[in-house]
Amino acid sequence: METLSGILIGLQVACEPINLFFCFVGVTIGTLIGVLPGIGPLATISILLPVTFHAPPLSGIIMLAGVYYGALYGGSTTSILVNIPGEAASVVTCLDGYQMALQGRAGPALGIAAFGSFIAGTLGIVGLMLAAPPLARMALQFGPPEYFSLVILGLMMLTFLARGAMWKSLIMAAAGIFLGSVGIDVMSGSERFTFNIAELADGIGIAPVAMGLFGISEVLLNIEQSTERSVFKTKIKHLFPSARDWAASVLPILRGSVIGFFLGILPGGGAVISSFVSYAVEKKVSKHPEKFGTGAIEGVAGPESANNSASAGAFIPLLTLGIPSNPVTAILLGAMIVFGMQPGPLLLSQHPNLFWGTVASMYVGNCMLLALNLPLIGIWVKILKVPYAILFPLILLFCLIGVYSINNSITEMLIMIVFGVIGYFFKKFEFEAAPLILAMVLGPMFDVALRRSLLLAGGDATTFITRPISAVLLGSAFLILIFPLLPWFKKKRKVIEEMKD
Amino acid sequence: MSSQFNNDQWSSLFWFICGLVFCIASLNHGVGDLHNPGTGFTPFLAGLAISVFSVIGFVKSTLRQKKGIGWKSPMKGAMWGRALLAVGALFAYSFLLPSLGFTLCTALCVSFLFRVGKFYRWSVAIAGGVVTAFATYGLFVALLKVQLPKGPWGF
Repeated sequence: METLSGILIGLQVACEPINLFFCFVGVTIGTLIGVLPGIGPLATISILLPVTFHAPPLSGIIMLAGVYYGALYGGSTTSILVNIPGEAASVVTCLDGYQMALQGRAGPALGIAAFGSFIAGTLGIVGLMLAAPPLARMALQFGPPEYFSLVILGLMMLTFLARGAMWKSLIMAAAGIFLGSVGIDVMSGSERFTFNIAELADGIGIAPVAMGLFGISEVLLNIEQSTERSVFKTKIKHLFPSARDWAASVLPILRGSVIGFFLGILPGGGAVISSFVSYAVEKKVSKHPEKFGTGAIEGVAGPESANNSASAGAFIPLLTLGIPSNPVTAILLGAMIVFGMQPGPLLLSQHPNLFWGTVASMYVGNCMLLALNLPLIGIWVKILKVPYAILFPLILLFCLIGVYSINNSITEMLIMIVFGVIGYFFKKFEFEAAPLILAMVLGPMFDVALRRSLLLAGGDATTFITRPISAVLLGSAFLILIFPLLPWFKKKRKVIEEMKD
Repeated sequence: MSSQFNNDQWSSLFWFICGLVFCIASLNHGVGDLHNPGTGFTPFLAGLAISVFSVIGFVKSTLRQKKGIGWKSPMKGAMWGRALLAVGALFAYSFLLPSLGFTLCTALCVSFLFRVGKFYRWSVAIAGGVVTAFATYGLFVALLKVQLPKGPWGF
């Protein structure tokens, strides 16, 4: 009953004209950047973050969330038509989607990707509606030790699933914790590592760092390559899949939805991993696994459903525990904090409009995306032809204006550029920035939870393992840390990395 | 076995030094103890963790070096000059923005970036830069009411 009234409140809020407008802007921009290779949802949300500060908080969150799941919709278009994934979660779609396009079946491939995404996104939101309230109630019992252990678990999951060597991801996470400690220490009131720079007193802004690490660095890497895109030249027809295509796709869509939802909840999981897992599962259960990679529609339907469902699942730990499960939700967490809201168990009771409004807007956004993706496919294909030489100066300019507009600060502009250069070298030396940004967002929570736990326990560090929930969380984190040492997991992780490559 | 350090050995050395610097900087803020953790407690632990993980990384990469994995230039095959010019343009933009104002600074920067990206003719690049500058001025200043620095010309 509580959930039902929440949904009604949410729908009422989400259908207010201003929220509908921001939702539309978000999903349109999301689809656009999903279509365009070379700029992903993370970079776009980072770039748009300052723009939302001029909007009402809920509208801003709705727009940023729209960009996230909109990009997952749009990403499939480039995978199918150009064989270049619009973003990482659509990598797998290239395998069979492009083959379908070569066989003159680009229409059904795009169609099933859009319908699958819609169905999975909707199922994911239903799951979010049902799972979030009880989880939020449970999280009310969490004290500082539980939060500390939860942060550790989240970071361990992300470092485990990040690309490359685990020691590199762990370094990134530790560096993020360090960067998160810059600014005024809330427990003592003294400044840390601010070097008397006024802008650092409140900590290093998440927006300049994220825009630098993901936006600027991505552009720098792209412009030093001279790749020309060739769009598949064919008339796209039969966007509505045939009965035969539907029959082959229904179960993969349902399985993908379930896989995506649960992997999306897990800290460090999310859209990318779930699409790979879904593809592997579909290949495993198929009566004709040899057809995968040659244009099997199941290879498009499953992963595309999984990555959209994961985007809904990822909101559960964010909205109920205040713990982002991936870098995109980490930036959304940063945005919520800037808007004066602390995501966590109290969000549901203190800001029900925001919680249910965001959830309901995702459903509305999914309907908008279905309307955007299929009829406008011709426009998206045309956009694909815009040369990167024209796009990148505009992306850089939007980054500069965006970061400046937050606090009218040149220092933050410089911070963004410096982090852009740092991010560029991170990628050159195969260090993934995702654990850093997640740890940086969680850093202040980590710091306070750790020190408060020790103070409350009178310096007894065993408090983290004597409290049952904390012990389970910390034990899980420890298992994740030692997994890579086991030969079986080593092999599995290598397979995932090879698939990502 | 290559006599030169490989990429991971260099990066782990870099991070080891960073970790030490973070630890030393944290000591200045007071690390405290388990009974009363100080302001520098968490950053100290972070620095320590960085150093420990970088030692692990160094050992692992040294073992890989013995298997023949040596230094591989990360800039090889890349037109890194373009990236360098773009970064230069971004820094110049940041420093010149307060004095030149948004419109002129944007026109200059974007023109330069158009030229860097595809070697468009200067006339085309400048035209693109000017159009972009006025379009973004209209969007951000006139429409979204974002406050951007004005130059001596008042825009």
